[in-house]
Amino acid sequence: MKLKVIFFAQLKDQLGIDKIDDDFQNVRTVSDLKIALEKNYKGCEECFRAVTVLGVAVNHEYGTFDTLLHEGDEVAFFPPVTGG
Amino acid sequence: MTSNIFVKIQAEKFKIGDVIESLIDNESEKKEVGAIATFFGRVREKDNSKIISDLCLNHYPGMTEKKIGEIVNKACKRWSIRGCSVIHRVGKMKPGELIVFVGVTSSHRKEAFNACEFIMDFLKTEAPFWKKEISQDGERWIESRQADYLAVEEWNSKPT
Repeated sequence: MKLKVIFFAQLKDQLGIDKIDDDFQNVRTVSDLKIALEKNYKGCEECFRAVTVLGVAVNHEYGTFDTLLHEGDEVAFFPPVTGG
Repeated sequence: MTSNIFVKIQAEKFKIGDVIESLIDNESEKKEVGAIATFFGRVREKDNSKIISDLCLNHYPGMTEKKIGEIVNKACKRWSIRGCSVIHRVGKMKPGELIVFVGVTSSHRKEAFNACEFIMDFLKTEAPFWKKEISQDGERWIESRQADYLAVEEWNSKPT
């Protein structure tokens, strides 16, 4: 499944990249994607673990680890928001 | 339905007077608006004892505008408001500079006060912005505050 994955704040800083475009195999949910990223991309596991609460958005809508993914989706990972 | 909604994410600085004026810049609003409530957020120089030299604001383009729009729409459904502007800056800024502006106009004060606070409370927990402070100790991503989530819970538990 082709997906665009984006990282924000400390995740972006720690990984040293802000996005990954890849064709992921056997990925059905956000949770599957997280596991695939941790397995295939160096530093992902550590950086996901370093944030207190890992937030996720699918196509600009907040999601959960159970959110189903579809071909071409944009998935963002980030720490809790701190605007205002 | 409120038609005068303005949401802008920008790197440029803005002035207090200009953004308040823009809330009532047409003739019909000048006559109908009885109340204007505003909130301005600024960069503080001190965080505990640390002196902040810069604040860097990161956001999720596209989702930020969408989420703020949804928050403003929720406020419009809850109160009878005539207009609303939200301006949020991104990028690097210095202590004393403005970060955020929320302005609400209505016929009477209660609606404007409530909607302004509601929008600001939800913006804090739902709009995808992240702040990094730069001080003599280096760079640090700011942690979210429990109090901000409690404020939203309080709104959610109030009858509409």
